[in-house]
Amino acid sequence: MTDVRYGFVIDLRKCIGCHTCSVACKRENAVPLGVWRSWVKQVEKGSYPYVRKSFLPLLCNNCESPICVTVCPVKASYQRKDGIAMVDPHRCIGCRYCMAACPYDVRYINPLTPIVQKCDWCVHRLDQGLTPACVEACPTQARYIGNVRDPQSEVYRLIQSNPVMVMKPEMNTRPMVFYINADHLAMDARGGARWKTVHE
Amino acid sequence: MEDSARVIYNVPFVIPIGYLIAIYFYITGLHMGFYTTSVVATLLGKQEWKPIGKIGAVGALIVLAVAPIFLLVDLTQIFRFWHLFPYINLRSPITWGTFFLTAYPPIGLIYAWYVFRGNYRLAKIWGLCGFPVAVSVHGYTGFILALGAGRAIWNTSLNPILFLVSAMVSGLALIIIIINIRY
Repeated sequence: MTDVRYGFVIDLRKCIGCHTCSVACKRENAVPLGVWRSWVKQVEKGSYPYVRKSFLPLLCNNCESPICVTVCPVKASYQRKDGIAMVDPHRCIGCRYCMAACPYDVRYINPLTPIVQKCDWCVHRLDQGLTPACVEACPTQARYIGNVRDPQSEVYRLIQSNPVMVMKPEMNTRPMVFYINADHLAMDARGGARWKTVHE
Repeated sequence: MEDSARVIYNVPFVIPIGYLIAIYFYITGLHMGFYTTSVVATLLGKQEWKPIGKIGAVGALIVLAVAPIFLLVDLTQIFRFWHLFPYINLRSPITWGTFFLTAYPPIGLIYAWYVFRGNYRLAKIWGLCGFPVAVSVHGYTGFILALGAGRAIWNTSLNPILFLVSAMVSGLALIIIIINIRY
């Protein structure tokens, strides 16, 4: 029997950009106003008449070799055996170095209890055998979560049988959120900046 | 034109490390410049350079007493700062810095004591002992940025050297200003 390593697959062919995942995440994890654990980036590309709007749901990638865990000076950030990077709320001193080091900018300071928090793929639900709130809420079932080491799982089948992309592979963090049919302009952090140099 | 995209909605990036840390980097840079200049002046031992050795030894202590205040105020959980001592992550430059910042003041005090007592033989020995610590106190801040892999411009291996060189220049400049005020 293989051990558990959670992986996330987002099928962008099905994503309609309704932001239900963002709302479900806020509701499940009581995320305060102004900060987000999971959100949907919207990108418009092309020029008339060839225009397309694409969506990119973003959340913590829970990387295989996370930079945030490496740089935390007090070991408040740690990685579970199943690969999910967590923050110990009683140990975090709020130096925000992990936020600066994260290439995906998914960490935030909770303004109410000023410590760093992040998307943890709803581990409290995963541990009880449920799926995360965003996966549960997605109306088109574009999000999948499962064990990437189990050949019987849906996630394993999707990753093996589809061309998948990860965010910023050049960072060598080995992220575990796999996007099917993602647009490179939407994945690129400089997408908006490049538009400014072209059009302004 | 086909390579253009417009971001309609995205959660804005919040700048995590703000001006307090920038000031802290600058102050530790001044500290390293002060200390290095002072030690060099002491080691070469010319009579007319002795005021420089004294200014540098005191300046380094004053500046390093101020620097950790900025670090503490920058923490969002200020009263948990003691977590830095028992919970050690040797891969994090902030942990290195905790111990360098703690190790410098005793060495710097002993050095300044001998410089002011005029015992230049012991001042040279203690100055040389404190030199690697003083360089590390500022050098680790370069590693903080260099190991913050998320920001492309920080993440270069030249960053610690850039920090050390600019620190040397800024410390020398401040000593020049102080000497000109004094006379």
